[in-house]
Amino acid sequence: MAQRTTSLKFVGQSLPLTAREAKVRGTALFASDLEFPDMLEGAILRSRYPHAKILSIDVSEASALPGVKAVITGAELPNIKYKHLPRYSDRCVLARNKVRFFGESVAAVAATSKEIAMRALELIEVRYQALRYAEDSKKALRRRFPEINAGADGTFEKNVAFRFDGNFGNVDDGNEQSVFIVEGTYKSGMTVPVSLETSPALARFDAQEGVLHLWTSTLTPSVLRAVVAELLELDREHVQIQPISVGGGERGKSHAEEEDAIVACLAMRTGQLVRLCRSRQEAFLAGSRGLGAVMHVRHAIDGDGNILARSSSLKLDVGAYSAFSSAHLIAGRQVTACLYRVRAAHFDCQFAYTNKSPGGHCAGMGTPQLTWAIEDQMDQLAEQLQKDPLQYRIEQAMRPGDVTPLGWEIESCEMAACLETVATRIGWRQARAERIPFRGVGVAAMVHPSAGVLYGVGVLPSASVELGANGRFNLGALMAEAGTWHSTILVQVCAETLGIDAKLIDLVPLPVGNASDASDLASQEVYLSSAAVVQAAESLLEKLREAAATCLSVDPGEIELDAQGIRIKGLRRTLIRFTEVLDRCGPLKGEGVFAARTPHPDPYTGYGNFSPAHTFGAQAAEVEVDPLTGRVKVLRVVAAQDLGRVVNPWAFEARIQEGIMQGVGMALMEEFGVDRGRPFTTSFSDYSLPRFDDAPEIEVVAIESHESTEPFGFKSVGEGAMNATIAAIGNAIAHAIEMRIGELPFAPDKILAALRRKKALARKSGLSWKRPKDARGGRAKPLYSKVIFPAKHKLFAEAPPVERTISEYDYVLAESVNEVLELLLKSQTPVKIRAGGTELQSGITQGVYRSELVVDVSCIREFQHIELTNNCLRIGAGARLNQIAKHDEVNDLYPVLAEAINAIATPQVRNMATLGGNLCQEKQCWYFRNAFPCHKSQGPGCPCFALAGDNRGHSIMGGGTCPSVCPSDLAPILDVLDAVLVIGSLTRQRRTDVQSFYRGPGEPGLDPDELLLAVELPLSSLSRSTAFEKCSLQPGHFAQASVAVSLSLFRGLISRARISLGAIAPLPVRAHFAERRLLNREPTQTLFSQAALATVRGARPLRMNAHKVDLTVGLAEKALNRAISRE
Amino acid sequence: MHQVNAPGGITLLEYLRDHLKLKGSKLGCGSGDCGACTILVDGEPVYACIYALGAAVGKAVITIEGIAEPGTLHPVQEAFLAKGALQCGYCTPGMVISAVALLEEIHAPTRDDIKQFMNGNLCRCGSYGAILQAIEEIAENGAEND
Repeated sequence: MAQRTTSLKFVGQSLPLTAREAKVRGTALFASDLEFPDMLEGAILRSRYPHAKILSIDVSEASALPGVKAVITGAELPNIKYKHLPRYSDRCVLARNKVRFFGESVAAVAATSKEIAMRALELIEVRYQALRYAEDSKKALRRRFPEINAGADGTFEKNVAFRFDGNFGNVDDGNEQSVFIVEGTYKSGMTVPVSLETSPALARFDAQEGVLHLWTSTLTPSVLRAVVAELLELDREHVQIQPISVGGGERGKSHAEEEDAIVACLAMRTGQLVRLCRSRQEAFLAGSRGLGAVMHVRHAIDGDGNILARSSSLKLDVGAYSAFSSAHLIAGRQVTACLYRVRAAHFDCQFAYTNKSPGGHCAGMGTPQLTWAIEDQMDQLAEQLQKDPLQYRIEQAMRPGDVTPLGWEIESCEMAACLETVATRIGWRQARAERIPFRGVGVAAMVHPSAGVLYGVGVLPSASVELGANGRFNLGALMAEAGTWHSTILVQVCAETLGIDAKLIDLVPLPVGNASDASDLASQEVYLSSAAVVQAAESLLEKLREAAATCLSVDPGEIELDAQGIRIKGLRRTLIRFTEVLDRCGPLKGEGVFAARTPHPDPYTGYGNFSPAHTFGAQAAEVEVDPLTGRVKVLRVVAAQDLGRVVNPWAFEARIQEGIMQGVGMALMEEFGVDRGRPFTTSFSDYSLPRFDDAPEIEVVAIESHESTEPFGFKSVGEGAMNATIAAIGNAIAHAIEMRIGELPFAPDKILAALRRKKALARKSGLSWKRPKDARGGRAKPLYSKVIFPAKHKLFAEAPPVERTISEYDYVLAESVNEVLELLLKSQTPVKIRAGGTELQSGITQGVYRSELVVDVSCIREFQHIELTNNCLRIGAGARLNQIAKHDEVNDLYPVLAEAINAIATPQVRNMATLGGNLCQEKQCWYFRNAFPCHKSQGPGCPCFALAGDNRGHSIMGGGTCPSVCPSDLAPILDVLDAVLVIGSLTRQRRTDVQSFYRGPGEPGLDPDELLLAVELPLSSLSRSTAFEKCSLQPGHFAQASVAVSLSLFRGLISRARISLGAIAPLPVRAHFAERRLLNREPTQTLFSQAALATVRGARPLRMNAHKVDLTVGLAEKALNRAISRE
Repeated sequence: MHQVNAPGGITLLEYLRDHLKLKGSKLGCGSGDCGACTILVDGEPVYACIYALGAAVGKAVITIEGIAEPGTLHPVQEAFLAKGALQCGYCTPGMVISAVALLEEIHAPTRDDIKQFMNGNLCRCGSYGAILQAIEEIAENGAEND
């Protein structure tokens, strides 16, 4: 192909993102912003069982409810299965005969309002028969375990969705000839490709024309159209996907959601426009999910380090349906055989069905995780060879002309230059030589095909360019407006080809239906569709020349374009203005399709040149590990990417930054938890995402190379940017702590456990540090998990009670404290006090609360007073946290309080949340917050899920049947300041201290008619030196552990000591042993270390939270030192 | 002054979006975690998705629609455009509001101030770096004008 390299005007420029102004004004329309007259609202009834037979569904009552326009169930829909990729169709739109995961859609309703639709859901009666469920593939693959999903075509044995086993090149020879072998097993947890916008969808069916119109948040309109058309038995031409802004690109929105088909079906049934918006919880329960994996990786190398054979063996579970999981197979095979120069490769994988939400689309398709495992071993191999890890990688980097064992023919490749560049910019040599404790640098490389899955099966993009009557050029291409810069880049390419100003080009996102089949999948978009645009523009140009030549009676070769229109070469004057072209030459339009030039790879083995071009890159990360808390801070990431030519430097940088931030999330925090078949991380409080403070300094460098397969010489960018991030961070952590961690994410518990293993190793060589005797981890409650829990679960919690989806309640805005007290006394129903509402409202959203009367106290002035009296500082319980933190007297007298408040949640929350709310807030146990049927939410017969399950955040100091912790950060501080809590009712007033305020975790000891009125801080506590330390997974998040300390000194000796521990026990705990140890002693470092150790005396950690013991000791020592430094 | 005719127990976000049809503030989580619904109540940033309508009685509410005079852009919006501090745009209205509140409260914020203050707003497109630059630029210009 002729390359356009000389004097480019638009390709290579930083043109801004399309639709940016509407987005910054808030006027860009996303699907959930659309409203139409007579619009109906849809809602979905979801399964409350992980695996159950549907015995019957009775919709008669729901259908009879006034306002309900349609109720549909699986039995009424055509029995057609999803067709993501034909071989793997295994799911119907609505469950038929049985449900296979918790949250699966069973029935759907369209009604005149959301409230009616939700009420109708409650009236649908479904009879289930619970079946045994499998949460992991091991259980699902047991011989006698029932079939979960029969799969698409019955090729594989029971509960195997698909498997692959293949060698590329001579693996046996490679293994035989090897000198060094490194192998290991790596685990990665499940992730969720969260978009801030869930996936709303609207549908309208035009019965006269038989056309279905869909507005939906998708990245892949053409794929969606094909799926929906087939599911509803319509012609593809009769499904029109309307262009709309998409909130979040590349994150699980590149396939058809079942919601799209459901809303379409409701629209066809009712003949009206229907809108269906999912809640965040629904998106977590039933949306797309990344697969967790167990990866066994093995490298066999010769004495020079050449990789003779690499083998990856993956065990994954796809959940109840395979969705797009097969892309993980393709991606895994490619990374195994094509990252670095590999002589031979073996890849096998097994994808099992389990009773979890369907795994499918997620950015990277498992590539970043497998790249991490491979790159972890590249470091180890370098160590074996006694080579510098960077140098070793450069030696093994791929070069132009390489052919990989999988048959990839590499044309342009600057992998070595990328590695060299990132290392130089991160200061590799110095950092490796200097070795600052707990700081480290790591490097990793990546490879990514420029064309993706659909290209492989022959789906190709098209484009059109048309000259309109207004003299402007309409560029029609199939694209989603998801801020991926796709459209900007196509405009640049179009302008360049036509030789006109980019400002003359209007982008017409085609409603899908007008466009021919197109590939609009994620990162391959630009590479493939730009070629189609070039073709379309060239075709238009030719037609223009011919038409103009006829008009002007000259040779077409004499015609050229200028800024205003058409002229003859050599003449300055514009002869036909663009506005006149239509009149003088008739309508002109050019069309283009990307033409495939390479044969498709073998559909089974994947052997062949999958993509015509390949993107390479490298990343280096610098991290700092806090040995005390186990938190990893990524300080810097440098990325260098060889993507041929940079079309738009601005876009390039933005897309790489996005990839890196997603990689940071996957590496450090993102983890989707499922227990007993039910997800327990269905909100952003429990599923952490990278925030501002987690963002490292990012530097992005483009390394240009010569790629001949694309008209302007560029390759794809985007999704691939995250491939190397986890690996670079992982290797940097290994450098920082000199331990390798084989499990993702690198959360504090894993770092602390690794540091502990390291200390244990060191102890053998004479160093000593050990937990106090009582704190024995790992053995608590075996009886509970093995005997009591299963029994209670079977009896009381397996057949879950009907849970109300929305809490309806009365709301009273109180005007005075007296009014509140009266309501409390007289109300027949339980009252919930709403102060800031930050905890209450999220509890209502999550289905935790079913209160019938909410009393809002946020507007009562007398409740918010902060005043200094003769002997105390009195803070009204209704005072907002920010109001307290900014209050002059608080800052003068109790700066520690202001400091602690500033570490709570976010500015928005602090502007709403109150002191009383902080002290009285409910527990944050993720089982409780996700409405598990535990004994705290459903009554004493029910079990505690945390005792037997994932209890990383729970109590290390007892708790009996509920090991939740006291979530309040302020309780320990008020405790060490001897604060008095003033509690009132209509008839009496009483005072108490923090220690006796609580009954249980997040359960204040208030009678039904009582209200916490104020907190009094005695001025006598002013002379103490106070400090507060807290550790949470992210800044502002709920504490994993917190320690408040106050010390008084008299003649150089400690005369009074208070240590209060938060978030490690159901109640704020005073560390009496440690306090006594400090009394009448001179404050020294050694004393503080001893006292800190004594704080956890008596600790009995649960199975997964022993790290909190170390954490508490570390925080206590830090707090004591800080307190004394303030003396 | 605005007369409200709606049940006090609904959230301010529901009221803004469904009753007043002001669609600029977005629903991202409904639990006060993501910041896409950030608005100003009496000048302070809050999460509209968990703010009771009743609690806003008598208070001044400003959303993205009212952050600048009609037809103009707020300097924060200008800076977001200039620095390319957005991609999909779903978090952008909330981000802009938080940034406006930040610059109201801290005239010349340091990088750490910005990170801390903006921590209540999530961006999944990873535009944090560009947003930081946009805010820093305004802060610098503001400091120069002093």
